[in-house]
Amino acid sequence: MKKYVLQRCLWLIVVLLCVGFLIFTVMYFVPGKPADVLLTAEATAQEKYEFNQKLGVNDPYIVQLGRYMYNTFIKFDFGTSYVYRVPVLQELNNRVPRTLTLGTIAIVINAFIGIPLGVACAMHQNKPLDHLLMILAMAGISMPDFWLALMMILLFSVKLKWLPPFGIGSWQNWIMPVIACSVQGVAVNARQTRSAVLETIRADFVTTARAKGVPEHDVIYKHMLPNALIPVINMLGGAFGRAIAGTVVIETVFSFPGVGVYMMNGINGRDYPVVRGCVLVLAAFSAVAVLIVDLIYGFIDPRIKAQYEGGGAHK
Amino acid sequence: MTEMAAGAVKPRKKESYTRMVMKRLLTNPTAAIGLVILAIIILVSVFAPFLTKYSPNDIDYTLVYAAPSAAHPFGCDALGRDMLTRLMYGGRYSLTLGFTAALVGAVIGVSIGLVAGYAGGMTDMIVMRIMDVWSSIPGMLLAILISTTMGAGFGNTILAMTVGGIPGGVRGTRAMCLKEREMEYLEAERAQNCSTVRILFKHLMPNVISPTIVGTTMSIGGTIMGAAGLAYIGLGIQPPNPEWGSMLSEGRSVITTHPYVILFPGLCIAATVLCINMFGDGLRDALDPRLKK
Amino acid sequence: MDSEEKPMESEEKNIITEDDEFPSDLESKNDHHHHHHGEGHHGGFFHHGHRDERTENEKEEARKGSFLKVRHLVVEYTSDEEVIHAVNGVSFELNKGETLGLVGETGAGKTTIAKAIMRILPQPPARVRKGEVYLDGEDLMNAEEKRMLEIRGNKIAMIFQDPMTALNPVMTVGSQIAEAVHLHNAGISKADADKKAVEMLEMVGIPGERYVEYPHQFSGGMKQRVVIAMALACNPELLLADEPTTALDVTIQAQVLEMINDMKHKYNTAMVLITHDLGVVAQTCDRVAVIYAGQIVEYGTKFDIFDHPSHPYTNGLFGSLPKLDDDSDRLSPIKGLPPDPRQLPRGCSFCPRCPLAGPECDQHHIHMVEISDGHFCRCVKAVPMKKAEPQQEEKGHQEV
Repeated sequence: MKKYVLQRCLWLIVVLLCVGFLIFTVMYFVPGKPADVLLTAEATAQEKYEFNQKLGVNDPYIVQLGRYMYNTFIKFDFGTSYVYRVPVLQELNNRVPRTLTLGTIAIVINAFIGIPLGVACAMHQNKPLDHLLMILAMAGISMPDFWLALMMILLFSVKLKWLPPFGIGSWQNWIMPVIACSVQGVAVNARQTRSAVLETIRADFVTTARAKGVPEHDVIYKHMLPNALIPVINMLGGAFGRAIAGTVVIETVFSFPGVGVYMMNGINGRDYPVVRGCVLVLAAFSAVAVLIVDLIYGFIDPRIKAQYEGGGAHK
Repeated sequence: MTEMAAGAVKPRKKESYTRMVMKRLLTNPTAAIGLVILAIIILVSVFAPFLTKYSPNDIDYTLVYAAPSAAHPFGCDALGRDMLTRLMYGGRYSLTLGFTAALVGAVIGVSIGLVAGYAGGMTDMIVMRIMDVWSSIPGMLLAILISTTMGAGFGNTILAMTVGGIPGGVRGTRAMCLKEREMEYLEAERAQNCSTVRILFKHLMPNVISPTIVGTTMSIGGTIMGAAGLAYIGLGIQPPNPEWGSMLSEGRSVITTHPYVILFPGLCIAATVLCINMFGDGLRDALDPRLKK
Repeated sequence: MDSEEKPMESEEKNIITEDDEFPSDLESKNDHHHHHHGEGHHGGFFHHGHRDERTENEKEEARKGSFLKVRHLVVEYTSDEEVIHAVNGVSFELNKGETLGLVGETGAGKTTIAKAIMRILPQPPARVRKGEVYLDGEDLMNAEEKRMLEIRGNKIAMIFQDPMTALNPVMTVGSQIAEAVHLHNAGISKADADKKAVEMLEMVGIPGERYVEYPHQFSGGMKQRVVIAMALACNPELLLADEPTTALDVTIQAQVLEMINDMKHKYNTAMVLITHDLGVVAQTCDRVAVIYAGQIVEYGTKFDIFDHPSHPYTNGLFGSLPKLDDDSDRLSPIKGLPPDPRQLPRGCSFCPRCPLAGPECDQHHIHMVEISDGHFCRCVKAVPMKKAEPQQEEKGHQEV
């Protein structure tokens, strides 16, 4: 198992390198050069050329790619913002914890509210509670998260004046962003958990447990749920990635000073080092989350563990 | 000769299967309601010119942010344009974007998945490694990246939304292929020297189709919302096109004074996605052979 | 029809009891059931049509007697608005150390009977409409759930059909066996329960070290052995084996059957073996009940059924077996398909497929007819045993 963990970690590094390559290459094709955006209209062609030269964007693709990969992955230098002249990494240091916290809280809520709701629905299948919660879940997955954010601002900030609509001064500032990031995840999770549990209810080994005289409570908590929840937990990795990606838009709604807003400013200001740095960081966190969940999955499901270890059935 | 015999039997079986699915689908109240409302939304979008006397670009500076009234049931926006009209026309963008991106993504994803799943070995490994990298970047992020590079606009948005959905389709299809590969009927076909392409399309695909259809339907909602999100942050469909997401971004600035500007576009998105999801749920239940009430 | 006097037999004799009418007739016929003769036998032979004139004592007697008594079991499933009549009035008895084979096609209701005895039928779709089950004199249908929890896995154990899915994939096989031990031996230490689990594994031929392995690491045959070990861990007095060898290949099948037989002898366990394989029946069963459409259509000792099959369905079953010494080109299956359990035919359920069908077959409920001592057949064409004739029963009974 340890060998497998090591392998996965190494592969993660490779993946991140590839992601960096991908990001750089895609953005290489953005039309226009920094000089066109950052210098005034009166600048001469010569001035523009020199400006670009200083930034290194006149060099051939390979050279720029090499420089980028080296800087990013060896020196951990994400470049300097064209616009603000501040190293991207420095700014990210401030912002990443905020976005990461947002994403993490969202996942925690996702797991601790979504999963029990799904289980409850499955246990009371087709009863009123099930119908009600499933309708709510359906609404939850159908609402654009940023629209929900807007509506919450409308209700809680404008009409009720309970919560502040932007900024990050106090813990109240976090409430609405967190809710906006979580709702869709909770709804999706509740539905998936419900399906997983319903599948397990029909399983043969559940009948076997009953036939052994296992009391119903233990049938559910010792036999059914451990099996049903395994695939659900595995989905949480992907859910984290989606939550992180979702923060981009939601942060703009709330002017929440996280990575997402920074990236948007970068996009609008053609500040490409910023964009590259942000996307890389967000993708990295998403990949790490998926890896962690995959490894946990390997620990809790002996069949997968066997697969990971390269073992198999021996008769 | 076995093939001919199989062919002779199949149409009859398939017909009753399709009919059974249709019956199940239409007797499911949520699915039926979803389908009906979706049809209405589609029809309204298509026939918008006949349903409203305004054009979505009729600027009228006297009606800036006019409140809902008899003449303008949903009010007017920052340039005095009738909201209802803009919403109707806006449906075209969201619906087209959503369906196209999901469909194209599914076709590409399934094709790649079939090849990888069936071929196995080196091909499979390479494809999966590429998918690993591809899916490390969350879909929305990838869409933003592509939109930033290629610029905004209708076509680029479709591209952006399609790209994010492909790894999912590939993984799912490949998983199903791996399962089916073990099954004996493929051995039987191979024993009859069926060509690879033929095996792929005639035999593997039908079995893979049902979950794919369901998955694609469910992803349409996500695509629509994603496209709206892109427009909201300024990357998707650009103004003055009446796309629902960009209408929402316009409303952000007047949320305190004219809240209805953000209410209606969002409702439209939510309603459309809701109907699609309701229908998708019903479809999944109808196609599931084991499901009993 | 008179009630029969049974010759006084030893404890081993099992008696088939007349069962009830079709569910729809139940209410009106409640008064006319059983006529039981006396003390000193365990049960007589019940005819339809007599008032229940038993005294309390006699009823008390009826409850006692055979180790397992199933009476007039009726089970329905409701799905959407349809009612599926799975079991339509099944009665049988079983003594310790004996094996009863329940033979029939898939869907005939055999598994439902077993699950109903253990009361593990999922109660929303399934409903035990009527019936009594007595285990060692105890009324199982009306027992408290708490009591049933004590009984399941302990006094009664069940082996299921598909070993591949019968075990919990995320628990070690050892802990699954130990769980059963733990549940029914209050106060036993974990170490002792584990020790017992290892013992059971060894007993079914699996090395004790494999106690810590997971189900996916075992083959089908070994998984089934684990299931058997789990079932026998608490020395059950009654074993319900639902097609325990169907999913296994023939050589493993032989091993598993032998093992079950050994266990049975060792612990004097009563067993109900559900199967559709007549070969398995021949190997392991003492008595056989042939089930069709939720009813017992023929019942008797193994020799009665194999040497003198009398119900057309039983004959059909034997007839459709391929025989080595047969020169024919084609097998001779039974024509037609089993009836739709949602709409059972009036009268004899087998009538639509029966080569001997006649006008009197589909009019009303067919009753069991005793055609020789202890050998019953539900067919109007069956010739009831004449009282005066001695029957050759000895060789049938004491076989184990």
